[in-house]
Amino acid sequence: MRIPLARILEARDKSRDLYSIDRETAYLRHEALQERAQHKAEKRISELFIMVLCVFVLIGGRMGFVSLGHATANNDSTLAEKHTRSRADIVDRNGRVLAANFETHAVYAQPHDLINPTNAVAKLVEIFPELDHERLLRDFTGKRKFVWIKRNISPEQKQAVHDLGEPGLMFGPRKMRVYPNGHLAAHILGGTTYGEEGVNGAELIGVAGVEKYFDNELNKTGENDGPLKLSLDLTIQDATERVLSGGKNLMNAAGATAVLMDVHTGEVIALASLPDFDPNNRPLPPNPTEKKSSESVLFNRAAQGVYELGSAFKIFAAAQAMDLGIVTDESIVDASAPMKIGRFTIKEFRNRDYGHISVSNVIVKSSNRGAARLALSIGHEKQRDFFKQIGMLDPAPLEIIEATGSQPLFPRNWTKTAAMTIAYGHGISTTPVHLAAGYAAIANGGYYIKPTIVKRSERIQRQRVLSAQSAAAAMTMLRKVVTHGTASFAKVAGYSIAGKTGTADKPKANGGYHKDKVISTFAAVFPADQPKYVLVVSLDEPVDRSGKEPRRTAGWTAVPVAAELVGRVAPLLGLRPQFKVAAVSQTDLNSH
Amino acid sequence: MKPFLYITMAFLTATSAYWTYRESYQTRVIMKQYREIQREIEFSQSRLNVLRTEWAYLNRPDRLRELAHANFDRLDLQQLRAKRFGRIEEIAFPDDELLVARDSAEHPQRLALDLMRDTP
Repeated sequence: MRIPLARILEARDKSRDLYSIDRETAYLRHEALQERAQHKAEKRISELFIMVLCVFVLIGGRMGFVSLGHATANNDSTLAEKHTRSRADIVDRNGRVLAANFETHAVYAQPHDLINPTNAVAKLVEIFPELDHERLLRDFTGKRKFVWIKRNISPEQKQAVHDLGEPGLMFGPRKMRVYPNGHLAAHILGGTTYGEEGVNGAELIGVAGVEKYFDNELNKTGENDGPLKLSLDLTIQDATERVLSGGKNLMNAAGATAVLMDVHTGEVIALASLPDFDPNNRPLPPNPTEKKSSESVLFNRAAQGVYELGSAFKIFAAAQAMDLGIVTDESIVDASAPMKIGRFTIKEFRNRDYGHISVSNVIVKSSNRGAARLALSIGHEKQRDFFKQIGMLDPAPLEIIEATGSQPLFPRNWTKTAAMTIAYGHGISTTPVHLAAGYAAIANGGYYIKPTIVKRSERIQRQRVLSAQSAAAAMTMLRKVVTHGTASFAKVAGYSIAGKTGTADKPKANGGYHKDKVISTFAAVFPADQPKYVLVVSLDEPVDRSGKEPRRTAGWTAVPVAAELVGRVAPLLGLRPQFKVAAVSQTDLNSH
Repeated sequence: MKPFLYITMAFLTATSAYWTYRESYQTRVIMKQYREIQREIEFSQSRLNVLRTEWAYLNRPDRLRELAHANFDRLDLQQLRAKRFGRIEEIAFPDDELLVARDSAEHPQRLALDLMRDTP
């Protein structure tokens, strides 16, 4: 027992019990201790309470966010998804498939898992005869951990490989781009190839045509994105290619192209370039040292190749001269020989001399001097402005990657001399698509509309380039070319065609022109009385050998092909033929 | 008062625990179903795609042309040319009287209707 001495002395003085003092002290001490402990506990409880409260607020807040926020579907997106999402289809204007995806498999090997590599190689070569036995064996027995064997195998081949029972042979899913119509519209569609490749998929990327132009849009498949709808019509495209191919063979041409365009919307309904290729098995571009790219089957003659298209350009001079009020269709133009500008003489076809003829006859008889004279009266600057307005000086705006490189060729110095030759289609090289767009502007009453390969949904942007009267007068002239002029073969039963021929000598690679190689072109508008479509047919080096001497002019080559095309395609376009129908008697119809 | 409050609280806790438990499992089941349906949709879509492509391949112009050529005579096909177009006036329709007679023979009740319509 320990009691402070002071307390003992005090107790003795007051004669109190020493033990009760001791108990009191102990009691007081205990009291103090208890108070301290209680205080500590209370503090802890309040701390704990705050912590729990914090956690609750946190969880509650999160729950609130989750319930208030948009429900996001959990769709297990992985890295491989990027490759397995499919590229959008391409369809024609009526929704018929031009390009789609097909699911196939790629087969690959992990050689360290192979049980019997030698046997596996032997069996694989049996299934895929095109594989290189030696190389595969080297890959399988060497140090490689991963070997691609083949992309895009058929289900039968997959089963055969599966039946080998080799654990080291694996399959990876693959999307394959297929063009179910084969050669059809090959130059427009272009083709695809594989980009980034992985086990779970490979990225499809466009290499040419529409596939390349819209590469990003096709791969970026949103939720409500449909297929890419082109302005082409599959049936008409096929008929066009078919007829053109026949015409090309008949006229012994090296190449042929046709562009069919709606004059009111600028939509290209058919665009053919021959020779063509199969986009499912796109050939490699030719070696530039051996062959010119313009001779390759991959070359798009309609939207990529720029050619001097010749006399088909004369109508632009006539239309502009009439539009400016310089002449009317009956005005007389001096087209008599000789006509010299500097040291350059303008000659007519077969050195004819038309003398003084009307503007209308300049077109009908296709007079070079007459067209040159019209260009002089227009003035070279105004002519250049007009050509700019009808899109002749810029690359064709078609949505094909090749078209972006179709910059027309024309003299940088648009001199008077240049203006005169350009008036009859020499000294300016454009694509047939350019020509079609120019003719569309005459046919639709004087509006330039940008041609397109995609079905138009937005409002058509059109720009007036000619007055309605001068466009109509030009149309009358074009009709006369068929009824009285160089395109007499363009008479098609049921349909009236208007148009202008053009035969241009092919330029040699090292300057000058070939004597017996031409590009013959016919730009046609039909039906002539209510123009709806423009058709440009152009043959490369055609020659008609059915007569005594070979004939190369457009009237003998391009025109018959174009006429056959119109006869074949116009009914498919839903154009009603116009006949002078004789009264049919009732008995005739009932007799059978 | 206090025991009653305790009992109610305990009951509420038990109920909400049960409810949460049930909801959680139902959600899991629905998520599983959702994934299955999603897989099914993907599968159907790829199948549809294959079928559509195959349809396009079977209807490719080359093949249709061959078929048309092969069956040209048998089906008495004709080339779609301008002269194949006709006009409504060129089609011989049977006389109205004949039509009425035929219709009434097939459907006797029509005759009465036609007669009613004809009376002014």
